[in-house]
Amino acid sequence: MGDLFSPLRTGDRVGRSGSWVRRATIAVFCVIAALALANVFGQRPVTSQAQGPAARLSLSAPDTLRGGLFFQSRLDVRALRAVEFPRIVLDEGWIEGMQVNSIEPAPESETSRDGRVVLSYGELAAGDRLRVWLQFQVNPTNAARRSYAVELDDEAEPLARVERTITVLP
Amino acid sequence: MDLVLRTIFVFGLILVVTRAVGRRELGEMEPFDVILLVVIGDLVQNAVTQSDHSLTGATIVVATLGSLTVFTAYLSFRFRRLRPVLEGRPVLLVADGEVLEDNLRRQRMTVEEVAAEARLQKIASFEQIRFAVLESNGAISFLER
Repeated sequence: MGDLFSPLRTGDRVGRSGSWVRRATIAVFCVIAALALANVFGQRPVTSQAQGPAARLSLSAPDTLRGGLFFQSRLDVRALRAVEFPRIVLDEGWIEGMQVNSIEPAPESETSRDGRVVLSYGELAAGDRLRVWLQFQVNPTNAARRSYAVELDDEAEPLARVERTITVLP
Repeated sequence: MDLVLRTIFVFGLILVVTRAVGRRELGEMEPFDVILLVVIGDLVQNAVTQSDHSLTGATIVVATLGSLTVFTAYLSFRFRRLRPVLEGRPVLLVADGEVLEDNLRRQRMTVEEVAAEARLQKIASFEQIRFAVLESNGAISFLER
């Protein structure tokens, strides 16, 4: 066809491969949207629990995040017997590349133990519950997978430990 | 997950707004309309991605919008009854030289606007027009006698 400013191919098969490429691309789009709905790319919270003879520790937090997102982690401590010096020990993934917006209730003190952050709270009697809300924002350049484990200690004695990782997608 | 749901909601909202605003306004954009469109785009972007600055988030939104666009186009192609809802119907504005003022009023158009469009098509009078149709994309097509 010489009268359309550029030569065009003719015939039944013209455009077929292009149409299959387009369909495949749309299928990939649909799969990405479906995976996002299934929480593969974050940020739905997941709950993990650990229990020792003295206390039960529960963590509710997303395990996958994306740069820039605000998110919440919630810790629940249930004392099964008196815990005189409750310490919540956070692994590096809690703080590395994260903006800490707030921790409620605020700990009585914060210290470091072997590169981990230790939050100290007041004594818990048997049956007491301590719930701590931690609000964060992910630093957009913080793309990594890190330990998001948390441990409950009675001063230096470990009572329960929740093993988790956190993945920050680019 | 919420990123996909927010994108679906905003897509539906934009679809409703564009259908409610009317095709003429969208087909003939004044500088004010262009600025309004940019402002709406910015507000919508904030509502969809919020604080998400990630490539993953952008990929999810683009993939969802692409899927929804193809899905609505397929619905419109496959189901004739949905076509007026998704794309709108062509509206007859002039028939055999006679201006259909009721149809013009429903589209918030004046006779002068149709006359101006006709002049752009090198048509000098309504008597020369067999049909003038406001198409679903906002353009007016003319068929001469």
